[in-house]
Amino acid sequence: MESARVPEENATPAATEPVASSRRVVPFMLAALLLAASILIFMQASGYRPGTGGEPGPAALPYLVAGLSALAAVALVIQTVRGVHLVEEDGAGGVLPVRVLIAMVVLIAAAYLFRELGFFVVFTAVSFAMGWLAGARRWWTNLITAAVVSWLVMIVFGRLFSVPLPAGPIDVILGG
Amino acid sequence: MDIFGSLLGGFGSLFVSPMMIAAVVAAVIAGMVVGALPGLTATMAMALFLPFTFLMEPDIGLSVLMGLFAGGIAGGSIPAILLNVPGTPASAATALDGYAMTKRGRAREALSMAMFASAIGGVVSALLLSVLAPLIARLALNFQAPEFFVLAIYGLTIIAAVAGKSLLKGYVSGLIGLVVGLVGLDPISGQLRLTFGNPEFNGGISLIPVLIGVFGITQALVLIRQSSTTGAPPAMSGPRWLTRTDLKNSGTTIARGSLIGTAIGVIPGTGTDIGAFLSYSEAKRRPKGEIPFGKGNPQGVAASESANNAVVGGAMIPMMTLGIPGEAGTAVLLGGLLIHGLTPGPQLFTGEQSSLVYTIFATFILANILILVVGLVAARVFSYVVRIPTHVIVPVIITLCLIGAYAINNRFTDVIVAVVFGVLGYFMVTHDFPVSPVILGMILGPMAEVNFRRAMTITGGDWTVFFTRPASILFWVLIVVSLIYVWRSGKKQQKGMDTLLDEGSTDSVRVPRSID
Repeated sequence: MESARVPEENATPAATEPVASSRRVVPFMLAALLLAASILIFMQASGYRPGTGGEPGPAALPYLVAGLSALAAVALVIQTVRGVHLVEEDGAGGVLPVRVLIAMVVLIAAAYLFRELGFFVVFTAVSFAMGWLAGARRWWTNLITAAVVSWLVMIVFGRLFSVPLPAGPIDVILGG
Repeated sequence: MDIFGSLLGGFGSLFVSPMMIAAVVAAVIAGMVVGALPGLTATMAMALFLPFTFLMEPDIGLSVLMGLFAGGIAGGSIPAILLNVPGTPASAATALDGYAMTKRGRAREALSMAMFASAIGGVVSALLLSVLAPLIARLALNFQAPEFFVLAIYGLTIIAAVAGKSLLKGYVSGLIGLVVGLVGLDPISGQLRLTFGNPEFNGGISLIPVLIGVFGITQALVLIRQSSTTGAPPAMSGPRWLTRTDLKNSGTTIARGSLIGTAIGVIPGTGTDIGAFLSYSEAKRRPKGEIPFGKGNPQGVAASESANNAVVGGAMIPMMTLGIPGEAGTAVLLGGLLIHGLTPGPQLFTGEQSSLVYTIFATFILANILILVVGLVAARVFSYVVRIPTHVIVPVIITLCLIGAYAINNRFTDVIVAVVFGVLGYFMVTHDFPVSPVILGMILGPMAEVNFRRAMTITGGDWTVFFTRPASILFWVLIVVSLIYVWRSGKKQQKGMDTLLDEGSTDSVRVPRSID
């Protein structure tokens, strides 16, 4: 007869179950980010000028933050390896479904191409892509809506609020 | 007496400006619409509109933020009552009895109770804010660099500790904020730090694009991840007006909820959800009426909604008087004050700008009254709002985020910063790392550093100054006591909230992943 297993008092459900590796990737990524930041800060801060008259100088807080970041990174790695406080998978596609990944790529591309291609083209493309990724069914209504909204935003912000939006050839034709 | 005179002056400034009244009305409606959309929070609404307030006069811009804040919290009750899906975490407790009332054919009464309780809770907290904030500010005028340093440490310690399910994850988020806050020109020596030769970062990484990224773009990515639910609008049944018995029974509950909410709001690191659940628990201990709690008792709605709106006023007290934002919404509001050249702290209540402060208080009171009016008049419209599909919402959020990040300084770098923090925020939120401490680290880190170094310069490097002044000692004691309390009560509180959600309703409340 099998005896019932009593879980440890402080163990989370994640700690008592096999842990999917994808749930560990992000905590490890953040730990690596903090560790890299602490090394960079430490290297940079060593070149800062010293403080005067009892004042600790501009390197004091960076050193402190670098030290705490390194400690937190190590603690996060230990916590993640032990499987404590890991998030539960909740949905198809896991942590990073393809459509979220595409959305991220579109956003990063838009941020860099905004200046080169002009407001209208970039914002129409972004709105269209986001609508599609969020589940819009008819591509042509999605495209028309994206174009009309982008044009309205261009007119309101460019003309009414005098925000100097980057203008491509199409923006000029459309009155931006 | 001068406080009430100043508040009357604030109302005077408000009512002579039709533009400002129109702005508050529009902001309350917009806040309620955003709050009514499941998963979207009042904080996100404020972060989205924050850059556009820069294009307005300070009094109008700040009034818009107040309207969005109050309207957003109240709007969260609508999907909680109609769909059992709280629009904001603050309304999770509302769903327990609100949705049960809908199932009993009393949806309109539940909505009326929610709006009534929200309005009363908000007005009570706004009045307490108007009275207490100037008194605390007067006291804080005596504070100097050592006290402000310890205060900033208090904020950083407590906020990171209570922000998430894991203490370590809260601190990791706070540290990311501290690292970001280091970038740029050192305010005392003029040394450039962590700019890596990029002149765009000489002035530091702006707060607003980061706010837009972690609250706006992150939420849009989370919405893309979640499946969209659309369908027929929920049935709006039952009489519109509350019965005299319900009003009579809920009077004490609303008064108690308003006071609990305000008190909880004053404590940095708490939030609207904690206030609502505490008030609900208290009401449950003293039940009135024939219907049990969790089965459609209007008092359950009254307790939760009066408290969550009251938290807003309470949370503004430490933010406006000491510059310590206690949670995400007030952090965004602090950003709003900063972009209009106003530095939160005791000096805000002195000089010419003090009249603007009382105008903000008056606006907050008006916004809460408008919640009742708009909520009662447009309840049917909101039943359609809760069903707006994700593929309509997401492009609008992203467009506002990108244009907002750019418009604040007309800089492409800010757009890139918003996107980078949006992507980072997505990974954090989906792994239970709270994003609020990132913002609070950015705000409180520089505050701690500047005051620490000032104090050290004044005293010639004497460290004991942080432990010998009476106010500093008091704040250190508060830090230790609060940390012990947070550590001991954290698990108990989470367990209590989970138990309420499990036992309170026959249907489990579906709380969508939202960012606060």
